[in-house]
Amino acid sequence: MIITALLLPGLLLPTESLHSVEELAVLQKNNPLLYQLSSTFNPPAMAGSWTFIFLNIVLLTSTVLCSIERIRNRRFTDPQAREPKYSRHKRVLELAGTREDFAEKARLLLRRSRWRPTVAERTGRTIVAGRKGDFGFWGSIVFHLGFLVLLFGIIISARTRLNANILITEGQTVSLLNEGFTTVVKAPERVELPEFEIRLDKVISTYEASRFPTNYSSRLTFLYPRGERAATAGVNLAANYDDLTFLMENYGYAPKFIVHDDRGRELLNGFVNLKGREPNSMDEITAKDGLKIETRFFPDYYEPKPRQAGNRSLEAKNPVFLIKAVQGEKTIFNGPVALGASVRMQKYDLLFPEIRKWAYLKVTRDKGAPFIFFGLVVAVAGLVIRFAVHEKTVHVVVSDEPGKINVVIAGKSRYFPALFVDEIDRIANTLGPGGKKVSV
Amino acid sequence: MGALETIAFWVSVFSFLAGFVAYLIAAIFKKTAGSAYGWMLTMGGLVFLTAAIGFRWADTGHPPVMLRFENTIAGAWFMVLLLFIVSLWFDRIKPLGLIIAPFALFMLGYGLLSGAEQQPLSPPYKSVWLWVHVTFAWLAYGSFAAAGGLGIAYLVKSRREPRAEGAFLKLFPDLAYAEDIMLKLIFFGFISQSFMLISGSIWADSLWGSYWSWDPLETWALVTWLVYGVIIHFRLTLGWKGRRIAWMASGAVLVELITFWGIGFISNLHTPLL
Repeated sequence: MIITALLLPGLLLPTESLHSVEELAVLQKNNPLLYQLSSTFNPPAMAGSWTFIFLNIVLLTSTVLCSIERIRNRRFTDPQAREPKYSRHKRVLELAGTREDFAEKARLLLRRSRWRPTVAERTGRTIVAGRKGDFGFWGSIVFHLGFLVLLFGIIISARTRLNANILITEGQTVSLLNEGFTTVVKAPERVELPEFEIRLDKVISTYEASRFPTNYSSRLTFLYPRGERAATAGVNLAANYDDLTFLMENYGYAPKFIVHDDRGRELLNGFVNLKGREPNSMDEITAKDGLKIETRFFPDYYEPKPRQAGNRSLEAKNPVFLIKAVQGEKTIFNGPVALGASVRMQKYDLLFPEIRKWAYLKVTRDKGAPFIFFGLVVAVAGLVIRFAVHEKTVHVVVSDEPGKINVVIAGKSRYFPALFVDEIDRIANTLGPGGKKVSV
Repeated sequence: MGALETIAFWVSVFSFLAGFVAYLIAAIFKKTAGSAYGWMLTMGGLVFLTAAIGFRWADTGHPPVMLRFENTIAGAWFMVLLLFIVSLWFDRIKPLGLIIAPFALFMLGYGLLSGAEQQPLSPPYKSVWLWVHVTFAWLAYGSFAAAGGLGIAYLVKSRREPRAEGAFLKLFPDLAYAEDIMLKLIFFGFISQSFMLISGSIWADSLWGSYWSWDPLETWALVTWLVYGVIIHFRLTLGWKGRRIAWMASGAVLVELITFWGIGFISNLHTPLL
């Protein structure tokens, strides 16, 4: 309940998951108190806070102590005393026959129905008792055990988890040790990385009807001192090296632009990783001499009407840029540039000789993840046992009466007393039809 | 939508609507026959919705898991299907259609507002964990919705003396019976949601490299799980029964509604998937 109460405010307050950086900046300026509250109570911040850590320690401790106490209590408690707590339901039958025969019939019926029957003789009556579902107790223990493994895994994960990104262009080779990661989301204090390089050979993307991306992946080569190995990192498809996992998060286009002046001096020469790959997505490139180049990308350009830009598909079948080059306050070029073409921008030339793709790879390492998943599976297995197998008892009390026998069938169910009535009725109907039904 | 899908979809919508009207007539005018018609029409709606989903699946090549429209038709389908399955064991649960039919109708209408364009399965969905995660999600939310509906029915029925109950209320199970079924639905939903969270974590780890990102949808799903965990604890450990549990089961549905509708369209990680 406390954990739920701690998470709820953060879910209702503005956070970076729901608002852009600009919106949060406005919030900070206009309502610093609300901004402070949202910064403090957002779920990721809460999860890393000392309060949460303390709560988890309390949870860990109480889970261990609770499990030990339950096992101890169970060991030293008479099974017959561990009666389910809830109400009893009775059927009363009056039948012909002998007490011994009927008791044996009841015992066999209970055994066939997977009850654990015991028979006790008292003066003038025989009690045939059956129990089921004692095993359900262990479901709670298994759940707690799984929970402990889960908490242990979370601690390991918090201390060892690496989550970072690399932005890499086709043909480029990156050494994590030297160039490092493009962004680091989370890393332990000391990050130990193996000695190797990654080369992006090709980004493969497929579309359906040229509109809907259906798959994308990166063909990588891992280069290490003793050799090299090819691998593919895609969506839902991890490439592994050592204990590092590489996943493909996103991709885009990287056109090569060359800009030189009349004297042959290069102002720009390289691949530019565009932010967007959608038609008409805008980027801005800065070159020397105060040159600013705004680009609008059309992967499959066509002109529906003269001098009107259009795009047929998301695949780069006819990549064209609408370029606006500005120097100072002056626009020196405004028009389309197709792949392989060059254009004159007053005293400069702009060439667009090639287009490649870039890939945004996620690199992760988490030594706690296996414990977390194992703990979760065990915990849920415990829940299934606990809820599917619950304690039930049934008593068939057979007593002698002149010329007949009186049979009282009653029982208790720990979780579902009302539904248990049906089971009592079934037993009663099998042992002898009719009979009075009494609910207590 | 394709032509066959459109026809089947709209027939199911009108079937649910007619079923709801029949149930209302039964409840307001105390015509118990209305309840039987309501059930038949609601199940008819389920049949046609199944056909609509089948046609869509055939057209797109994938189950309805993408975008808001597909999520809502799948959700409505699971919810009504769950009611049908539970009725095979507990016949007296059928009047719950009074609450489930309009809820399904509302979901279908809501989904339609966002457009029903057919799209191929996008790359993040191409995982076996999709099947596991989405199936358990709908089983969980369908169970919780049914438990919540039963909780409302319990609260209404418990306010009246048995002699003063109308004919429609009499169709609902006895209070003790209803409470047990409510608890079973909550147990089932809780376990299903546990599987949903686990499979979602495994899928997220293979897709995003992170088994848990604290994004709003994930966190609300966790809050839903914790809320129902609290209900179970109150029932089993503190022995809360009757109207208390009915109130909790009914109220907890709000958390589930927020998880499904309230934040899905603004979550920055789950949004492309919804």
